[in-house]
Amino acid sequence: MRVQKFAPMTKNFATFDCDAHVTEPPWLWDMAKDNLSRRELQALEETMWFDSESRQLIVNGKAGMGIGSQRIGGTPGMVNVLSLAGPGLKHDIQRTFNVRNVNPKTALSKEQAAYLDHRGSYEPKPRLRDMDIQGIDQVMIIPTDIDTYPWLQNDVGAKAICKAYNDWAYAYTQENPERLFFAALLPMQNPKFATEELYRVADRGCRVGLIRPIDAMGNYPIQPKYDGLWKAMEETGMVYGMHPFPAFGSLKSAGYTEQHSGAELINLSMTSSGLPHVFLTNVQNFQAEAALWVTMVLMSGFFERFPKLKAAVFEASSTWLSFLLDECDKNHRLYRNDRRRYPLKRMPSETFTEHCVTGFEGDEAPPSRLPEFYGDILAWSSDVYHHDGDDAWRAIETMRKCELPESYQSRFLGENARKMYNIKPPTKFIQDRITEIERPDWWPTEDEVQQALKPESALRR
Amino acid sequence: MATKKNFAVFDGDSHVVEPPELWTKYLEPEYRTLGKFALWREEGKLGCYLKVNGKMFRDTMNSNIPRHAIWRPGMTWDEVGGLDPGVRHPMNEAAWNPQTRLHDMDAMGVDQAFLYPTWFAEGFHLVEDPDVAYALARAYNNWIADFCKTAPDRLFAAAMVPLQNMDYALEELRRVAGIACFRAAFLRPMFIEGRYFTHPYYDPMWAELETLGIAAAVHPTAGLWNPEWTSHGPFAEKVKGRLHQHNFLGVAGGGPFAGGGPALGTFPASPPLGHPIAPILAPWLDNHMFVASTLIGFTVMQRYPKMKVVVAHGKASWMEEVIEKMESSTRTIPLVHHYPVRTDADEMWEEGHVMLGFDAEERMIQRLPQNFEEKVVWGSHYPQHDTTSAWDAIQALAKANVNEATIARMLGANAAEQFGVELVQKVGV
Repeated sequence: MRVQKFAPMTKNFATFDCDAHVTEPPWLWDMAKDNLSRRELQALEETMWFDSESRQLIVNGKAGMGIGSQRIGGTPGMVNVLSLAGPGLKHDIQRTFNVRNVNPKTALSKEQAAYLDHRGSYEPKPRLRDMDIQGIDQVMIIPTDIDTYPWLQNDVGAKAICKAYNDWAYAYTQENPERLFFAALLPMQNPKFATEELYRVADRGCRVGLIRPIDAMGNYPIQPKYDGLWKAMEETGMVYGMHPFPAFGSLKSAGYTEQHSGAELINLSMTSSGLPHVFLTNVQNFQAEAALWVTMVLMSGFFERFPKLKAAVFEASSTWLSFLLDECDKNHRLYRNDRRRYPLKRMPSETFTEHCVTGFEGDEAPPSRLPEFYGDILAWSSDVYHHDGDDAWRAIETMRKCELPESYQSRFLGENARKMYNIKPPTKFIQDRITEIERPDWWPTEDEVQQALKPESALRR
Repeated sequence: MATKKNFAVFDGDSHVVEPPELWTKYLEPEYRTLGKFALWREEGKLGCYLKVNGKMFRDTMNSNIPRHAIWRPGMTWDEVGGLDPGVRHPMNEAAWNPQTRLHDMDAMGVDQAFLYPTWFAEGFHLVEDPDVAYALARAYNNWIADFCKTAPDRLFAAAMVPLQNMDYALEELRRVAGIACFRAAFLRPMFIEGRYFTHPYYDPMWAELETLGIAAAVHPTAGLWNPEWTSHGPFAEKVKGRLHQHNFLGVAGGGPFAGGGPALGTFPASPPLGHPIAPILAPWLDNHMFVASTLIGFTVMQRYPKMKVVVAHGKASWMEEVIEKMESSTRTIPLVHHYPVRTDADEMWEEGHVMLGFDAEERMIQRLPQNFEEKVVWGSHYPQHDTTSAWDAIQALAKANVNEATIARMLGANAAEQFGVELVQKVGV
């Protein structure tokens, strides 16, 4: 048995993790059998169905789709990047496992892969235990197959999977409603269905309607057809949760050659290189989608038409906002007389501050250096259990290095999100970091970690 | 506004607008017809367009205000925004006339300037015929060399290289290396022939730049006259069109491939925005992607450590964030590398010779000048509509308590070092 140790740390406030992930488990579809109407269930089967026999997700009639559900339980020789970042799975340790997997002789066994496939990604009880170690007092859970839902072609099927997911997510949060919250999926393929689902989940206390800002099938979520949905959000107080993702485009139908996301370009920069290389997928994709959405809503006057609407920009870092908002203001001034839509009553940057928060992750230092700019708009995300996720202690460490006053730390790490979602802090919160985790004998030693960081160690020959 | 300075300012991001004589005089006679077919800007009285490979890309914004060359010394952004859109406004002829330009530089507090193209930036990399591209590159380079001769100690340029054929590109690089005004090769961070600068095709170019000691001058454009899949701008402009795309049957479906949409489709039933949004987004996204993918991810910085690069007109505030993300990615993404990739992006950046163009109003730079002072190059964007003068920049940085030595470095010395130019102060007040 090995022991993984961490430096002691304390905190004096409750954290709120505004963007952490669950992976949609196979039993989500089993639950759907009990909760959906016959028509919805049939549409679900035809649209997005987990086939338990072949352990494959079938989407729009295509098998082997999706990125999460089929991998539950671990696969030898692989880490599941969607359920990996549990307690103590620091990035250097992840690299060590990735390096082991380069060589078949050292690759992870089924048992080891299963150990790293954190159950909290699928079940609430283990998640709550992990949250205690990770310094996370409250969390907003967000699904993983975000690159799939916008491409569902049957709108009744889209409605059915959204209901099925939301019902499962709601049940998940009921394990501890003071600490667990869920963002609801909405079937944007049909604005009427999306609005109905919004009201349904609002009745269950849901605070966020989740929308991917891409032009899948021509449905970029600013079109006038969605106005009723935004009005419903205003009425219910639900937050417009804008969550980007890498854009693989694997569900584009035949003949669809249009670009649907800025994130496709970074993918193309890899696929067109002629070299095997994947690690760029986590860079810029999120910013490309988020920055376009922010620009569109601010420059179009979206929030002036829906003055009670609030929005959260998830998982896209936030350093870029410090200049993007200024660029929006500048362009508003430069094009003042060219503007053909109704004039803006306020500068775009003021509108953002009034209506939005933006997520940031624990390793992102620049926002902590501009607290007066980010003071009311920053909301921390762990992104666990996705591989690049990390705990609240890491975020606090980054902020302390930047000498950010504790009053700002508590706003960035909890208060801003709770204010946006109208959620109360928990009655008790984590104060002291757990400094030791027992690990199996195969856990990497510090020497192995350092060896793995060498560029040559990752060569696949 | 600042009115006095004690150091030389080198404007690392200034533009010319290519005049018709580039095609009628500088382009070799046997290529004049083909060259005008491959790339041509038409400034018509009733409409303007850029022609690329014989295809027209019409202006989608108001052509009455030629925003690529509208600014003149003393103009504010609010004055640009207040121009009457119903009246045709003339371009600033300093965009193609070097004498007028020098007057403007004096007024702006700019001692020396590095010149980028306008229409060649937008369309040249898309020209399909490599022979014509080569001829156009020679014509551009000869024209801008003559332009710079007017003040050889003040005007410097990026050379056009015909990337369509790497043999031609290297030949042209070697030719211009012998001409004093050329301090860099122009690269637009975009997809060319469906692939990016991550492709090994470009390795000989990086090697040649390193050997010749010529910098890579990377400059994005908003891509307003480009098709999708070339850079970030065209997609942003398409999405902008969704704003006023109403459905014939109310709330149902919509869009060209929308699930559940009506066959009747959509129609524009409310006013469009009226102006582009790509200039807000595309430059920094294009530059960020170039740095992340080409320089760091695909190890160009690692494999050509002496190569100098200036990545202009796309902000610099994201510098730290991109390094953080790249370091994290080398650890958290399952590895599929057939060559070693450094895991210490931070140290590599520190050691490398890459500088980012910045604007003086960037908050992050005003707050943390010490983090950026060795890695940024100031640019005015002159004569584009969002130009700032050196006086404006000095004032903005001084107001943010950036010390004079750092300002001098960021506004002049860094660019001079990167482009291998001796700083000369011509303007003091």
